[in-house]
Amino acid sequence: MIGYNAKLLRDQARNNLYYNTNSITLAGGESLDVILDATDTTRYPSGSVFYLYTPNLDHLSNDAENFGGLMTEVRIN
Amino acid sequence: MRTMKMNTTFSKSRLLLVPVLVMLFAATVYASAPGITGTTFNLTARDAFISQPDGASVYSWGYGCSSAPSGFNPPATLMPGATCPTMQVPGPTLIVMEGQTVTVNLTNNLPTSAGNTSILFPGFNVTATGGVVGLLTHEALPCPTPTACTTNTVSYTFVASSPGTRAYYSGSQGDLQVEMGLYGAIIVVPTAVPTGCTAVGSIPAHYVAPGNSAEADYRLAASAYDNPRSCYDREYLFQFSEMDPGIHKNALAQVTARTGCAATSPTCHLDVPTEPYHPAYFMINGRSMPDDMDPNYAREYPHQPYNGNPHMHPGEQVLLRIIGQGRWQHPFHEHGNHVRILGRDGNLILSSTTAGEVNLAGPLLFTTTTTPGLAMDGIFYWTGKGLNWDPYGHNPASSDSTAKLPCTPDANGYNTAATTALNYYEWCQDHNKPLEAAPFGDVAGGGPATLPDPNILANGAWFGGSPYLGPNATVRAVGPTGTTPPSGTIANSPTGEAGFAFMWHSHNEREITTNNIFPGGMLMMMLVDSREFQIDESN
Repeated sequence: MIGYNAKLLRDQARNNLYYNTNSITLAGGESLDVILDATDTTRYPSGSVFYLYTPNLDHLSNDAENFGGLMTEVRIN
Repeated sequence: MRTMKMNTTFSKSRLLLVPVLVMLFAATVYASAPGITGTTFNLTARDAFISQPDGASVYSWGYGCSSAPSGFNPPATLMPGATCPTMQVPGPTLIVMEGQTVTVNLTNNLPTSAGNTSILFPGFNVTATGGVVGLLTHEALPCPTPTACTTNTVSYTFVASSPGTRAYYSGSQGDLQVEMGLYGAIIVVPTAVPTGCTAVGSIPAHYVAPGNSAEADYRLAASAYDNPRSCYDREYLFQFSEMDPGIHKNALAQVTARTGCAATSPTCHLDVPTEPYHPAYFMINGRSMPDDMDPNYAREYPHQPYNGNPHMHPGEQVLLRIIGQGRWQHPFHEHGNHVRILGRDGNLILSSTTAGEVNLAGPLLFTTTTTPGLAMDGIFYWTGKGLNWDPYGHNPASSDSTAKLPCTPDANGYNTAATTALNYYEWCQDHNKPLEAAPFGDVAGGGPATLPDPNILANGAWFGGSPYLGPNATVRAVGPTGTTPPSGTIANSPTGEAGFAFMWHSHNEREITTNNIFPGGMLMMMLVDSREFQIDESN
């Protein structure tokens, strides 16, 4: 994660404060900038697909229909 | 005419409010992060009614202790009256040491129609035994006749692998059971004291006024994580949740209608809709304001033992352990400064710039938004930096020796050389800069503001008529004859505590109401106390 609300994660002594995480949390009106690093082609080979989704399970549905909501895919071309 | 009418209305409401405030804020009480200790915890899930400040008793489910815990932290010597009832909201805070193997035995004593229940400990590798296998973990079956039951207890075992604050909550029918109150916190404390941190029990003495004794140490540990940059001086745990009373009423009606039903009967279950969701109670540690500012373990809340009532001295590093336990996010805003996040869900956030890097990388947050199931640890501190006036009201011409203290800036601009000084951690750039140009006390002019005459201004619950911190703060603002006119403050005595009050609250304004009545809900007052005032967290 490299930025929060359009501010680079770097302190006044120019230390980089970016960090690695497997989940990000957003409140209303907030924005984040993250970099997905897929340079390791052994772990992320061409053609592989990864889910991008909320761990709040009740947000993974469309009303009464299961398998929907806040989920999409990251495809490595 | 219209203005006059509005004024009359306001006066009437204030007349009504004053006696209420006297009643509510009469006792000065503090928090910390109290909980139960040990390696084996025998918990139960039960139903009971919890209290809300509008007078409502809300039918709820909660975890509690089925047998006495091994211990309490802070211990009973520091916090008399510590108990672990058989049902409480939030559930007992489990305080364990890093690396320990922890066993939690859960017995289901919920009404039979409530069905199975369980506990999830996200962030740990849990081995579950007993009960029956459920969707997410092993579940304890309900038991209408406890003596004949063999499957209503389930055991969870895990190693408390890394320090930090985490949530635990029901893994069975979570939309209903978490709403009903089945959630709590687990705190893993580091085993070692990182270099530079102060071990528990050896906190340095601050300025102690005559008649006061040095403070006891209520911390659970010297640091939040195994990192020398996570030392702290004081700590508080805040769990945010909300309740829709309609769901609770419906659950009670169905439980009552199915009293005595056999677990095997196809009709012995609840069908409580949890959508649409209309919460009306917004709670910190299971209590709504002003109940959250009453003592820990207060007898009037037998099922809501934990409070939310932070105090601190200037410059102290205060660890906030914050958990979202409900279904909604809550924008928790700490007035007075930003919060530097240390870690999330027990994961210390470090910069990954270079190998072995130890720079903290957690964001500096204006508002620490709570998210369901997510815990964060952060550091808050208050100094006068940025006020552009001297919060102690120092004045070289004063006849009061405590008003003439020196301020020697360290590399960061703070007065830190004398750790027992009354103005330790003063921001020296504003030293000898009083607030008022034309004061009523003995402070000379030059300040940026003119305050209303405290001899005329009616005081509220938190403002003592003096804008200054420290002994004789009232004299500095009001004059040498200074007593606080006309009746003194109720909750923040200008002669003793002389603190600054900051509202810590949800930034979603509806959430600072109790059943739509202001004030209430997710709101508490944080007090920055002058250093001669002994902060006693025992209650």
